[in-house]
Amino acid sequence: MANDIIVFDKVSYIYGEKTPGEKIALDNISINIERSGITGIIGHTGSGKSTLLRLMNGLLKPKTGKIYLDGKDIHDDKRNLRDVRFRVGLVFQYPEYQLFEETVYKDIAFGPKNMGLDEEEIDQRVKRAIEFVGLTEDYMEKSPFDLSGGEKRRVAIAGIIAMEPEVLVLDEPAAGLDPIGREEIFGGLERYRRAKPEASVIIVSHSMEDMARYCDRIIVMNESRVMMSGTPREVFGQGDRIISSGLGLPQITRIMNELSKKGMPVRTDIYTVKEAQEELMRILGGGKRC
Amino acid sequence: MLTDITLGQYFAGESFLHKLDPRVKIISAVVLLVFIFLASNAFSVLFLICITGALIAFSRIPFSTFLQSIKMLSFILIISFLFIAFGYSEEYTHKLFEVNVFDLFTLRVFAESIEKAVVMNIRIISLILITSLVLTYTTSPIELTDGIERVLTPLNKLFGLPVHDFAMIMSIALRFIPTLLEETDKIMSAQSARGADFKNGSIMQRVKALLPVFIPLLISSFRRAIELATAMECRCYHGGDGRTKMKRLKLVKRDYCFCVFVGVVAVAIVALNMLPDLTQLIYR
Amino acid sequence: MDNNTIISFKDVYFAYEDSEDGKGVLNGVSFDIERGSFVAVLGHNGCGKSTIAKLMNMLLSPKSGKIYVDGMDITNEDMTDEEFYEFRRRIGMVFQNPDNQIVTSVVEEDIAFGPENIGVDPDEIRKRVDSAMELMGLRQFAKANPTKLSGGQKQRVAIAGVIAMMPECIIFDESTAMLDPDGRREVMEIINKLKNEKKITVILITHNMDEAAMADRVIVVNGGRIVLDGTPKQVFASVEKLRATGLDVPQPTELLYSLNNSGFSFPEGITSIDECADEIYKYYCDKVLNKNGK
Repeated sequence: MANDIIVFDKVSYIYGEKTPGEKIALDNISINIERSGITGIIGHTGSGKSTLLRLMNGLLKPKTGKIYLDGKDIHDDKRNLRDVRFRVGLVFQYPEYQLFEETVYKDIAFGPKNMGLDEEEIDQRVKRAIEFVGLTEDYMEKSPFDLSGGEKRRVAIAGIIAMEPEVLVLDEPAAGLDPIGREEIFGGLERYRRAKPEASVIIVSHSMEDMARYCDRIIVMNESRVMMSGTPREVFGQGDRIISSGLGLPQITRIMNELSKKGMPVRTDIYTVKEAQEELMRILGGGKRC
Repeated sequence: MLTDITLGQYFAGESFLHKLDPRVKIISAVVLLVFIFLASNAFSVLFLICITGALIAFSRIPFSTFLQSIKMLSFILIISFLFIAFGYSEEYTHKLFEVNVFDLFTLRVFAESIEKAVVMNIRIISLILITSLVLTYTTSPIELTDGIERVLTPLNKLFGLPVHDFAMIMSIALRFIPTLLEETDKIMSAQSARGADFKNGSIMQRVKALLPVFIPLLISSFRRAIELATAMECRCYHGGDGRTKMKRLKLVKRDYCFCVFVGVVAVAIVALNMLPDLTQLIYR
Repeated sequence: MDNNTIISFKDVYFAYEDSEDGKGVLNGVSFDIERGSFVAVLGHNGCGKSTIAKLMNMLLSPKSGKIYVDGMDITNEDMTDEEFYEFRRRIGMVFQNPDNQIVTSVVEEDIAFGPENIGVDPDEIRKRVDSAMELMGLRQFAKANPTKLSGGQKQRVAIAGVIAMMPECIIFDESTAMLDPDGRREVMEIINKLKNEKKITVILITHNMDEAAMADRVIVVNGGRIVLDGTPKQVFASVEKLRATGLDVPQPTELLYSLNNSGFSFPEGITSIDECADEIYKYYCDKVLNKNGK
């Protein structure tokens, strides 16, 4: 337990309770998020992922159950709630639509300023944050509204990183971006992780390929419950269970499953192209020119 | 959540009132409005109570809704009652009682003034209930917009009023209210996650705290407007000229019946108004 | 130009007046789109692919060059209003954000919006709206408020609205970019249906490789020029060239490509999982099992 930064203990959440539109968003779920590394959350739209994120930083309060941040119940003391938001930085979907300041610098500084930090500390944090997301200091005095879509998104993410949260949570950080844009976002996250090995990152995404590539652990949500959790190998190795819940597998895993079904003795818990290549070369006998 | 707010008080249903042609409803509402104001004595307002009751029964909307509307009006009702009841006119002759206020002045209450006050209150109540019954409660906003456009079209021909454009604006506004509410909710959550505080602080601080919500909302509204305009252009929108409508509004028997009913109500009110005041009858 | 060509670009140049960094420019683009085909226009953001869509629909007009629809020059400025709207009707368009293209708050009335604009007779509109809803599986949502629908369903409403105008061609301008996997699947299934059942020409503007791989033909745009043009197999065979333009390839293609780099010689440009597995299995049977059998 000591290694867990966030713990959900039998948490339920219901929208519009006792109205005709009542909807159970989370049904008695328990999860642990480890102190470092990247955790991926996957599931259908409406499986409760977004609710989960909003509960993590105290924007929503669970109906039943407890949420612990670093061993402390976040709803124990109402006055700490704002502090929880700084410690669990939440990047919403399409975060570029929350930019509002005249300059990139001021926008990134908004969070740190709300934390009550002094000018010098804010300045340093903004500079570090903009570096993480792969933008240069030339951007500081630009208006965020003059940037391209991908750049705006990176500025918005920098706005959360500048709060230097213990847990960085991103909801579909690459939604709608082209391959270059995706690479820039995930590249930034890799940099962030390398520079801050003690920080924990949580990513929600629909892209199984991205999840397979970047996550250390994966939680699969289905119909308001946790269906599976474990390493990508453990999760994607149970292809049938994932497919039965209507979610997809990474294409590469599907190829391996297909081959195994045909009778080839291949491993089916493979989830990256590189691994698949090695596995196939082992079986097919390496690079002989035929 | 902000998105829970329902705008307009339309109650979906299949009643006689729901099925009426929106044009008939709009014109009827205007006619009824005028004649409710003309109702000036106890007999005509008694008649109004009956009519309101009948329409409520027809609409099949829960009675509590109407109590709720009256409750919302209570402040206006009480004020208007007090003003008229304590008001004085030389025509008043039947004094009921006097109140001495701190030896400064005397408030006299007459039977006539009480009658007038009651009549006024019933008028206000039936005015609100009948118009909302005929219009907002039983007509979906989109039908209402459509009805207004069709009723006002002659004005476009006569005075060149941009009736179609007005209706289009209304209908787009109706379409985007839920979308923008949802967006507001999302932006507020996003800024809260960055430590924005909307609940504490002085009024000035709170207004300032809303800037990070208003600016993104404004920008996104513009973006939506541009995208929507492009999409409309692509679907060959070019104003009201040469435009047809899928929905053909055709008056049917029930619409004519309702028109006759409105006419009867109007005539009845005028006729009942000719009866003497209740006070005069009592004190004769 | 034969009758089989629906849209034709002849050396089209375009630049936005306020563009500084050359985004969305076209530097001499020429191609013919065959009637009834499904063409994907692929490229990263700002490469000019959306400009192509907007030119086809006369939302923009080229700086130089000609664009023909059904053999008629749509860059001709002497076009009458009637002709203008007639060509707009023929080339329908579905956009990226489903929320920002639905005009009214009742599904069936929104579908009727287009035909109403071009003055179709009310009874005819009713028929068209009903059949468009049938085709898109929207019957049960006829009276619903579009804001209550899912992203994929909203996009279906938008497509139905275009179909009700009886277009010859529909352009999907990144129409799947904001949808979740279920929504994407819904839209891609509809595209196949439109092409196969309605014989409508489909142009899909996208940066998603897996979607482009489903088309009959892929045109890759980079820096305002066409850099690759051919069947998905031909285009995805050029892995290096695609990567150089900031694009990626589907994982099956990538797997075979990297195996080939290690000395195998699998066919290039395969994009589907089944085909990829078949090829590998075939090799396995031929070379590994047979050899062992000897």
